[in-house]
Amino acid sequence: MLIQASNLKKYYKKVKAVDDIDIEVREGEILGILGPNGAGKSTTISMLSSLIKPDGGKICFKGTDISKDPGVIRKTLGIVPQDVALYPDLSALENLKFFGRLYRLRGEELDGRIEEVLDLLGLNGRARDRIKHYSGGMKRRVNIGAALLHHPEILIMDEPTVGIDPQSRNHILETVKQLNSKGITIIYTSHYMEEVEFLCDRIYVMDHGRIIASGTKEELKALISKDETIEMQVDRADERFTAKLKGLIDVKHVDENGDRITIISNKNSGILSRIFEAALENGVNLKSIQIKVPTLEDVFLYLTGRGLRD
Amino acid sequence: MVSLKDRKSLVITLLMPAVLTTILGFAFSGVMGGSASIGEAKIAVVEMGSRQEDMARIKKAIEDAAARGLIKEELRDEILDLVPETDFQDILYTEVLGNSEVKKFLTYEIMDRDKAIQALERGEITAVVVIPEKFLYNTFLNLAMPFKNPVEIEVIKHPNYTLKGGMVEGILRGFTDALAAGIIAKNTLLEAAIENNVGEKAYEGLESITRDIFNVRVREIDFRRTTEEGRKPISSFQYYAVGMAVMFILYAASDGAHYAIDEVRNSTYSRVLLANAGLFRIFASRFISTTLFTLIQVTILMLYSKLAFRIEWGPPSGVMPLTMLLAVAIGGLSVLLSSINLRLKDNRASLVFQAVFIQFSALVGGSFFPVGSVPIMKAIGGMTVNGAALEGYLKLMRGYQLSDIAGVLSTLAVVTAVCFTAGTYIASGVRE
Repeated sequence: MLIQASNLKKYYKKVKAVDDIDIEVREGEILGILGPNGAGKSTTISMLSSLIKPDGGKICFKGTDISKDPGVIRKTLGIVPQDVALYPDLSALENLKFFGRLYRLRGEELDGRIEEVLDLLGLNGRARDRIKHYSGGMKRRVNIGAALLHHPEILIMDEPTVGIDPQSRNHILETVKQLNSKGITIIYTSHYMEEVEFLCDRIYVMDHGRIIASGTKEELKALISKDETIEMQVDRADERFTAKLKGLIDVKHVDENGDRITIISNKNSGILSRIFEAALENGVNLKSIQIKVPTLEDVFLYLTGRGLRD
Repeated sequence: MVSLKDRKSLVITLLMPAVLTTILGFAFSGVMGGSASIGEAKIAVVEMGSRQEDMARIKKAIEDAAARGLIKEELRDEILDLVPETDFQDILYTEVLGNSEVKKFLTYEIMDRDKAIQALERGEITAVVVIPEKFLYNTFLNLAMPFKNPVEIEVIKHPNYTLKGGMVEGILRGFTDALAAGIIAKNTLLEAAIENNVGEKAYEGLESITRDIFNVRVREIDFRRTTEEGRKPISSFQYYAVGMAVMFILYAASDGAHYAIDEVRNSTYSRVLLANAGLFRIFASRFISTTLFTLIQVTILMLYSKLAFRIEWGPPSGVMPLTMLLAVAIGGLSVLLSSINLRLKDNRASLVFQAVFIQFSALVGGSFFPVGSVPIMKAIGGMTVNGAALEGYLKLMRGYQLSDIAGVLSTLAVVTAVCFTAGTYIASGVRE
């Protein structure tokens, strides 16, 4: 076990940011921490990386308590914060040099590492431009690069794709896969279910500072294997129709988002005909309806009664 | 490296002092003498009366007093002997305005009133000194006889030469004060003598008393000037080159503290900590970078002032240690402000420092105008980094040596020590 965290707690005044959680990180895996904004993901990884001290619990890195020796994890750790942790007035090259030197890299070794990182992130052509002139996606890529210079054993990535274009996002996701294939253990937090589903071997689902589920994708989806997800689009939002759906036998959750409604119900319960009846009764026209393969989003909906982006 | 790339910071720390030095140097060149010395001034003296007529009036007055029995015959002769020696107007020209030290910064020309006023309006002269009618006559009577006639020397100053005009006024005030002191002493002596019925004896000693007092006062004017002997005057460009430099280096301290909070906000601080840098290394870097930046800043401003205005900052043996210690003090200030910012987790400390402290410090420290004439400001300003540095640089410019600015260096050393001690104490409470 690379990292073993038990009974972790962190309070900000009366708010329980992290409330008694256990986390294990295994060597060579991509571990996902999935949850909506404010779930406690960033606080958790800040504690795992030794940046903030927990108010309770213990974190061990390869058996060593990091509260007693934070250096033991820091030197093997690369962190990609949610914010772009770079100096905007410096170029990518200057930023990478600065952070490389902090890890005591010098001369040819430093130059070689920088070149390697720029190649990996596809930034060679604009390395001398100031960060503040970069697009969001390019900033994010340099943000990752700065965490890779010292060849870390573990890479912690906190929502590394927030607010960027799809092309950069795909590039980053592919980079993460590539890094993992080279043996780097990755802890990846996101509220984008698709990213976690695409990347991660194991997943912790967090909400309100607690871990509400954990396991592999398959294990999590098995939580709702007796259920099915029905998504529909209606011509108009109607409160009476929604209320009617919620009252139907076999319906477990109803999530309404404008003219789109998601229902989780018991599998093979013949719910479709009753949905059509309810629509007729309330004068609502169904523009489309489909039964979906369950996703992690559905798992989260099942567990919390809310969507990940609510 | 970051602050050198930050254009706003560069403008504040380098461009502004250079621009302000130029503007203020030119603006106050009239007051301080421009690239010439502070003291160079030309004045016009206007004589409203005639010295010969006054002398004749004096002799007549003495004769009349003797004839009416106000003074004895023997005393009359003694006083008449005294008359040629007491041509105060001649003393003013030869002993005061003609004094070799005074002549170095003040020249005079006798003119009629209209011409003098026109020359003043054209800015050709700094001030007009008007010697009133019956000046000699009234002054002599006030000194030697039991009379009190008002005597008033008028100084008309050019509004653009307030400082130099003030100097002219000061010199003449010293002269008239010396005369007035003699008159007061004489009147006090006579009144006391009359009260004690020894008026006659008092009159007998009057000559020596008035002569002694008069001589002492004239020398006092001479003495005041000799305190400046051997020292170079300061031009407005020199003054503001130093004043602006020592004011704007304070921004380096607050900028350093701003960056500390910026690093927290953009998470580079976290990244630096995770690189196992530790708080000591972070604060040490802050100190070293601010110190180096200040050294570069002061050096550039020195070079600019030398190239643009041919300003000499003094002997390197004094300038280098002073600049070094000044930079270290600014580095210390930056550590203190950074630690407060990090402790409070915002940039309140550096903002207050910029908005209030720098302005106040610049004011009392003399960056805006010389505060030597306001003792309280001078005392407070001398304890500030910029005030102490200003005093040190100006002394070196005037020809003083390193040993003469030991007090300034001590002040900077104390400020540095206080900042480090306080900064370290506060930083110990900053949680990673």
